[in-house]
Amino acid sequence: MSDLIDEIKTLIIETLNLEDVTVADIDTDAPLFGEGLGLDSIDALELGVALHKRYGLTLSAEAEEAKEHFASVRRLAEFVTEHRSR
Amino acid sequence: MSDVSQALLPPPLLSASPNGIAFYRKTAPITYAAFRADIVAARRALATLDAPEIVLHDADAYAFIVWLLACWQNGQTALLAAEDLPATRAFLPLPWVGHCESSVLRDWSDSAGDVGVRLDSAPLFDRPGLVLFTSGSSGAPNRIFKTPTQLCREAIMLQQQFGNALPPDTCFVGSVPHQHMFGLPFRLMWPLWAGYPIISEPFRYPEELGRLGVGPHVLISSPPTLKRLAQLETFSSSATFLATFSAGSPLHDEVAAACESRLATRIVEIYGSTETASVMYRFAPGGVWCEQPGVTLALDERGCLKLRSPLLPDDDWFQTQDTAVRGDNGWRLTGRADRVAKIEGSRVALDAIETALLALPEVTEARAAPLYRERDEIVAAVVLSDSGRAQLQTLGKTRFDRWMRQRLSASLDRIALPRRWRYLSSLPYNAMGKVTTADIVRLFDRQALPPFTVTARRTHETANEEETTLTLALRDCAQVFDGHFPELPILPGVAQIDWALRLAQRHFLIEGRFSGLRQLRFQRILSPDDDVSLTLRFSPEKKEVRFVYASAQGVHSQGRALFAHPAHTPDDKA
Repeated sequence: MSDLIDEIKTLIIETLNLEDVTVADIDTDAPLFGEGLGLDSIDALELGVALHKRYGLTLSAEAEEAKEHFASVRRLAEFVTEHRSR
Repeated sequence: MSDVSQALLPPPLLSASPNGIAFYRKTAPITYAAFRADIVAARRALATLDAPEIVLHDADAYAFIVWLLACWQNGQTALLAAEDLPATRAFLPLPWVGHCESSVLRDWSDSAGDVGVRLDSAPLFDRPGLVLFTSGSSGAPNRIFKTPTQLCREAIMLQQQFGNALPPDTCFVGSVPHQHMFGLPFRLMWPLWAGYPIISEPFRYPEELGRLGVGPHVLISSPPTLKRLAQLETFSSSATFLATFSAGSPLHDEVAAACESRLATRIVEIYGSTETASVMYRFAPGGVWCEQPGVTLALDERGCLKLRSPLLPDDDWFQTQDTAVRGDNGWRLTGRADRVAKIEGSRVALDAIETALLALPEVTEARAAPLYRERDEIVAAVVLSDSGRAQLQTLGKTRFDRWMRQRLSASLDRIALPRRWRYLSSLPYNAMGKVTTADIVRLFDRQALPPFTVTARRTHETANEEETTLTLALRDCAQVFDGHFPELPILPGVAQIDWALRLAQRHFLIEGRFSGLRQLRFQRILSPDDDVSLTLRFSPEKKEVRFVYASAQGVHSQGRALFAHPAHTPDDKA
């Protein structure tokens, strides 16, 4: 799991071009949006595309569900583990 | 004002006593007799070129004005090149005149030509005598034409408006370049037409004002220089300053107040542009803006100023993008209408972001700009206060970036929050005292940098040093390997140094300016397939960055980059 968590953090950094941010800078349990990493809805779209490409999973278009998946890196990793097709 | 039945030469050139002083150059006086003789010689030299248009570039104000007046005497037009660069040369394939690399005519003294040539007191002409360039929104330079009549009118206007209390021996001294539309009318045309002596050399640092001689002076300057003057620990000058003029960007009231007491003079701020020449003035700090004589102002439906002015080529309204409100006694400038960015479809006011940033005690100067790359985003370049710097050092850049965003989120929409940050020791002011959006965006340029990820960061508490390690994806940076041996692509040493410097300046708050390299060693070549890391270790005390490029094979190269004060001043680029 911790490998996957780091992998997802790297994916976030690379996809969103978060310059100067390291894997260690991203708190596994902090929210990705709003207060935490400060990502916005446009980032969510891009991250969704990247997650689809890497793990073959489709994020729900439902805002509430998406919010759930992006609650933290840990939640995202759980979601990936459950639903990944590659 | 409309009656400009003037000759093509400043009146003092025709009427002043031959022994009267027109200029000081390296403190040596230049008399009107010498000035006249030089214009005649320059006129003769220019006539040999047989060209209706020339490019004029001379860093010396005296030489510049001799060439310009000689040009007009010959009925030639001078195009003013702000800099002598290969791109400018290619853009202006005309004879270049003046002391610069591209020049075909550096000097007038040894010219051949017709010895019968004299000074001509022919009337002013209304054809373009001068062409200036401004950067257009598309990036291509726009040509702005000025007739000698327009420039003469402004000189007379300035003398009427501000010259009443100036005795005839008032010396004009400036820090702004003379080839732009603030320096040219204020530093040269006004004193020339009114007969005040001019100091040819610009001063670069406010400290130099201390070396001026006793006597009355008028100072032509801009906010970056005045800001530095306000910050000097001590300042004394035996000169008397009768007035100080500032233009180029807004002058903060605190800076104006500090300079006012330092120089014991009124600070007059000028509002204008290359197209319009001067439009309004105000007494800083705190004053409202008032129209120059003959100027009519109005607001359009967006609240933007438009104006008619005797300094414009015609009687039509000239539209600006500056928003303003009319008060009881004058105008207040409120921002720029074109400083609204479209970020992912939403309109974002850059002025509002800067206002919010400046309201933070951690921030002393700030600029926001839109960056249109993979996605639209706002970026910010910020100069931190002492408390801001301390906080940055405590938190490290990433957490500090986030903390700044959080503080701004109280007053700004999420979409307007800057997503990328640069913390600088000073903003990138250009020679005219302006910070352009292009220069801000350049701070975020990563074109010539390889894609990198930060892999580690640590603080060496004992030595008070910071260290950052990055991995570089060399294979994604093919362009730097171009031409470096098709058979054996290697990373040039200059690129390694450049990357180390730029990445260091990005990750650490380095005061001062790059001043040299020490102990540079290239031990192994670097090729596109190497998995290379770059470790940067910054010592604020020594103002030094040690850099090491390494891979599994060992160290490839290393060195120490030194930084030194004085920090850059805006006039360095002049």
